Amino acid sequence: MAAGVTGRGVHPKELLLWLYLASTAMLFAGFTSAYLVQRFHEFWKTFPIPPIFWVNTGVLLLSSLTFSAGRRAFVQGDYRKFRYALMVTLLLGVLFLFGQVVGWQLLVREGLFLAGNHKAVSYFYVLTGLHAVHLVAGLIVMGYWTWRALRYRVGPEQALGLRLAGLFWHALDVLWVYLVVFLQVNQLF
Amino acid sequence: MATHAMEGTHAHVHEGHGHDHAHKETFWTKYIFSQDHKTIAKQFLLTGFTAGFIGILLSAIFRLQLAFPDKSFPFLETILGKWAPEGRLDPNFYMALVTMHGTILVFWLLTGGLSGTFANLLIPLQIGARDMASPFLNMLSFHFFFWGTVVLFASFFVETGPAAAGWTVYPPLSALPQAMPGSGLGMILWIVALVLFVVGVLMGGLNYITTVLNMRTQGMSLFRMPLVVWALFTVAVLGLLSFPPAVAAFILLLFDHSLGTSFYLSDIYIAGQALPQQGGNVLLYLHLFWFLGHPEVYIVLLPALGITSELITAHARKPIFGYRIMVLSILGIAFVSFIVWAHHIFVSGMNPLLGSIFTATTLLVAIPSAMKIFNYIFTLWKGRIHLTTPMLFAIGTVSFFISGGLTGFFLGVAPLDIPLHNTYFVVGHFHLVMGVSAVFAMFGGTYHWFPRLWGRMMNERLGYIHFWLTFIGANLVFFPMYYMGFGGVPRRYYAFTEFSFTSQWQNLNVFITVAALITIAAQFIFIYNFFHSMFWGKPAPRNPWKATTLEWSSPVKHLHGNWPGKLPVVHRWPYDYSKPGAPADFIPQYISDEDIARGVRWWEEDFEPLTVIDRAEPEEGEKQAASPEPKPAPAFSPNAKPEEGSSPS
Repeated sequence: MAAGVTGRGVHPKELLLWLYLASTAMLFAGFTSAYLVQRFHEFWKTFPIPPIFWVNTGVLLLSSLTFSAGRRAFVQGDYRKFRYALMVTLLLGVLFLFGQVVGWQLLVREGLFLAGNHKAVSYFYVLTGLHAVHLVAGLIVMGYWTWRALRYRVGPEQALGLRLAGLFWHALDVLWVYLVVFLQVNQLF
Repeated sequence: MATHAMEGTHAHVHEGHGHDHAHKETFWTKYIFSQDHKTIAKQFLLTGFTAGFIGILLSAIFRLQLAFPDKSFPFLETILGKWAPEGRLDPNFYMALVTMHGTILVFWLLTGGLSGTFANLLIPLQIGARDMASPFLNMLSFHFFFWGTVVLFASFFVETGPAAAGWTVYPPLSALPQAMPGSGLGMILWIVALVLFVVGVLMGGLNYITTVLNMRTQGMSLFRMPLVVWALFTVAVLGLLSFPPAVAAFILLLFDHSLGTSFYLSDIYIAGQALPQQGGNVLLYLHLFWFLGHPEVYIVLLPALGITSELITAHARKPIFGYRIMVLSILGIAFVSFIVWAHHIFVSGMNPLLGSIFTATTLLVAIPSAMKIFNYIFTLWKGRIHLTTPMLFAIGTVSFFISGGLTGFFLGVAPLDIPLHNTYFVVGHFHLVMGVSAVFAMFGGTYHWFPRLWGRMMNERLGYIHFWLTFIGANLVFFPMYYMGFGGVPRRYYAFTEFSFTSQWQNLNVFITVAALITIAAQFIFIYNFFHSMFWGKPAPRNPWKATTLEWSSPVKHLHGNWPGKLPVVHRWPYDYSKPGAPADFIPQYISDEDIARGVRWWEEDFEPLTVIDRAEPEEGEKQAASPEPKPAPAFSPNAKPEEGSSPS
């Protein structure tokens, strides 16, 4: 960084990412508050959320753990483990997305569609769908780093980028846990 | 990720000292995909102003309709084709014109154009940074904005015309394609344009916040920042928090519109036919929209007032009155703006208790706003006022903020708002308080910083004519609207000749239209002045207004990295004008007391290299940054400590 910069601890890129995450949080806060406004309406009906979404939650949580393990290996200099951890993370991410598609198909088979007046279902599709869109962005980031790791293009200079990629990936994880718990709790009463 | 993108930018910045860049710049990298904040500011200015002028021309068309609803204007058919059969404006297209006028002016000119231009130009230059925190993201921000503009204007060319449900696009009108032509494809394009726009604005905003927090030069503490930087920074935070919920509202609207959901729709009959959608809630949309909508007012207004602060101090040669109060009032307005949104929907059905709560919070806004006005007037008091064009426009901004703001008291109080809400009173109010006043600040800022943007001065005489015609014209257009509003003339009507109680206002409508057409014509003086001065204006000195802030210490000719030598070091607050005992009536922020003691004559240094900045060599740390970007590490080195390698030095 150039001299004269008043950076105080946090790298500008990291601050950028945190601010981006704040705006994403506001987006989903908007959606979930809309959900809360409508859920006490007389037309509101609950529906059972297929258990596969909880399996997917486990998969995504696991991917956060593998990424953390990878970064720890990176810091310790265990490059082999680092590469495997990244690959497993990417694979788990794809698996999560696949699981989501399976979940949506189960809903469709139950006759629960996006369109129509069943708002709990409509919201379910909108919220999980938008999370999936964000996750695709996360997969692109993760794919990029896996590709670099496989080509031996990760050195100490990439530590920041890797840390930010991890922050983004964990945030997608946290967002998903928030959504799935929110959706599940709203089925209970 | 490109960890070194920024360092890379700095690298070629410093190679560029004194001579042209080592790498070849093409037309595309220099003007289209530029990552230089000054060029991006110009891009925002030109795109915003172009969109804004088109938006204002649209108002000329619907003003003609309002003044002469029964006359035929054959030239309209020539321009608009099927939207003006036999020279008479189609009612559906009237709605589309009003909608697009509002959308373009509020979002494209006064949000994207205003913040995009001045945040990009001023933030790095005034805080002493070489560029934004992420120049790449900054470039992307403009491109999203630009393509949003393209999509928005493309909607004029679709079969069913552009969106027509008003700039707030309330459902169910906007959500049902069968409700009117404008709710067809035009509505989808509107939402797409807005989402692109928001993404662009947010990318810019993230950069502005980060740059202000992380990239200030040595000595530039937060309370030494110029007020306009405070305003732009606060606005970026406002946008970050308020735009995403609006995007949520637009996405749900798009689902309702095109994918058969019913988030907002319930109990609707079209031509006697009941629609299947049940259980939706229109009020939900209103709340989500106005949760953005009210902060949006201040996203428009705060940069305008920030610009006004700079203009008034520099041209009245006096320090701003109550600097810290000004900062606190910016923050206060920003905070309060989040808890007042429901005053826009008092008439849409609301618990009276909630109404009184929002009335109380709304009236709170008056306190920080009045503090700002008080401080502007006291800054002018006994100042050596130079009535330059920027100063005139700054005073105009304050004037409109007062005359428009005072009517805000009427509309902020629920019992008074209910009779006035659907009348022209509201049209007069928001046009004066946030429309015209922000446009005036934008004009003032353009006249003031034009030498910084293009290295030439704008013509003062044309500026005066532009100011007086616009100032008198805008008052003549919008003041009568208050009168009409008190008389109960409803807004949004296509023709006032249909009812006897509104047709008696016809003469006033003709008066407003004539005033509006003259005011719009006056804007061509500005356009001429702008482009003529860009190429043939008087060459500007380095500090034409003898101002104290850092942007005037950077050379007239733009260079990547802003300062040829080291970054200026800040020794004082930004408003040292007419300081008793000082050798000149302004002391720039980069002049220290030692510089004054050793006789630096900064007020004489206009074209020469500045003694304090240009002649200094880059510092040690910067020389290192100036070395070419290090090659990517060939392979993973096990013993390195990665965390240290990337932390800012």
